[in-house]
Amino acid sequence: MVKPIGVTGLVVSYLILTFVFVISFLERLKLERDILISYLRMSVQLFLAGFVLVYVFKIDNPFLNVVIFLFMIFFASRIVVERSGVKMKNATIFVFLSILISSAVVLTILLFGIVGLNRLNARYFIPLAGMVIGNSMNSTAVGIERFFSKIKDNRSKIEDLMGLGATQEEALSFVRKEALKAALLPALASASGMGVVFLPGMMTGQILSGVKPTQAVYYQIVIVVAIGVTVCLSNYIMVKILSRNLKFCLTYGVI
Amino acid sequence: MDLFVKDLKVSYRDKEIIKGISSRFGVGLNLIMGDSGSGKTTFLKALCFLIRFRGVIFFENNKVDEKWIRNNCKLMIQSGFYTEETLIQTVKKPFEFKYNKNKVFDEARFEELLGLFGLSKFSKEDNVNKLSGGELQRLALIRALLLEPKLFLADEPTSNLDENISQVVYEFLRNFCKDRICIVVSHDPIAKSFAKKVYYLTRGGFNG
Ligand SMILES: Nc1ncnc2c1ncn2[C@@H]1O[C@H](COP(=O)(O)OP(=O)(O)OP(=O)(O)O)[C@@H](O)[C@H]1O
Ligand SMILES: [Mg+2]
Repeated sequence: MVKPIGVTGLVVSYLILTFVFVISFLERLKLERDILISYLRMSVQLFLAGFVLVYVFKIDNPFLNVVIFLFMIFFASRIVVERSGVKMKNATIFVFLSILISSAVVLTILLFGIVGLNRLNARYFIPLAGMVIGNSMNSTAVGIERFFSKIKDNRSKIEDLMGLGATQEEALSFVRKEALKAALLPALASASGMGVVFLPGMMTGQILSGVKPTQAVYYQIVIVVAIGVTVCLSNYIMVKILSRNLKFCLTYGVI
Repeated sequence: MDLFVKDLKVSYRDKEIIKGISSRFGVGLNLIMGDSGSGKTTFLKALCFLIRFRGVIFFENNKVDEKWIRNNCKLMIQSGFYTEETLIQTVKKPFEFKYNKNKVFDEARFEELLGLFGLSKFSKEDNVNKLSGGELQRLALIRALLLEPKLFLADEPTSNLDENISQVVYEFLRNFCKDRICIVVSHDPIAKSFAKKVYYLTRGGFNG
């Protein structure tokens, strides 16, 4: 139903990138190499994904779908820990568990309770999982970064509370609060802007492929809610696990 | 009641700061003095299980662990106190903790101590941002005192106070420590005359 873009379309779209190169050059951002690599990487990854998805949809084996799901979460967790520069041991495992538990719960309700699938259909499962995991990834990156930077800046306050009888978990409660707020705010802001400031990618995609806008809205609302819930749950689980497993040993700094 | 510290050692990375303290602390006001950087704060933090240390601590001949410390020991740190919005919220905060569940917040006593330590011009509902450094230090002292611990540790509790108030504080502490073990670190010259015993920390160990 969609009008295909084709190779010429792609070439034109790459040509528009010239603006970015020119600005980088004029302002001496020295980002030309990074820009080139990022967009090349994106293109290759997307082509590969498109290629793989054709087969995944064709095979549509629930076991394979779950393996892909776990792989996506693992990849996301690695990115979160790398991007936030956290050096805590096992951080990747903690982030992985947080995203896994929250997205599994939300996706189960979404796919079977709301969409009404009777089996794990790859065509629905993989793209929806991708949206939920992607948003979890962005928010946990913010949450974990804030969690550790808050601890670093408030070491004496944490010591103070523990000196007065708090367990480590109790003493870190104000840190958790700040980290959660920071992680949830972008999701809230984006929910507020939807429909007025921008149309979300998924809705745009559906409309382009011929779905009636009034119908696309239903899907979009459900997704936005699902994303918000997953973002909240994954960050909550993450800061809880972190504050319990952190060795708050001031001798060697945190970790 | 007594606290026995046996061969306590603390290192920061590869540098040994406390090089094996063995000492007994009885009921009353035990005063620790020593040069800046000699490890007084480090020693108190170790007693309170806030930093990793080697050695053993006994209370009445029983080895103490972190759980016992969180229950029975309260530390007033040197600076950088945790505060809530108002004075009363700040002093009530520790009563929320699991290990302080058996303790009851005594509001009348809180007001009495505010008066005693020269904070009567503030109302309980005032914002803590209004407090000066020395006033906040007194509030932190009150907060720790209200918990009435068996083992009370304080790190320079009068460092930002003038002589008159310091005198009041030490007079109060002498009495407060009659039935508990207090270990107080101080540079304050007047502290000595209120102490039951004085310990000097030099080069990572006690002298005299
Ligand atoms: N987190 C840390 N990492 C490395 N070294 C530290 C750390 N904290 C303290 N030290 C060092 O340990 C030594 C003892 O510090 P400590 O704070 O115990 O001294 P203090 O006797 O309380 O001094 P003051 O009277 O100035 O409060 C100091 O030389 C200090 O530089
Ligand atoms: Mg000190």
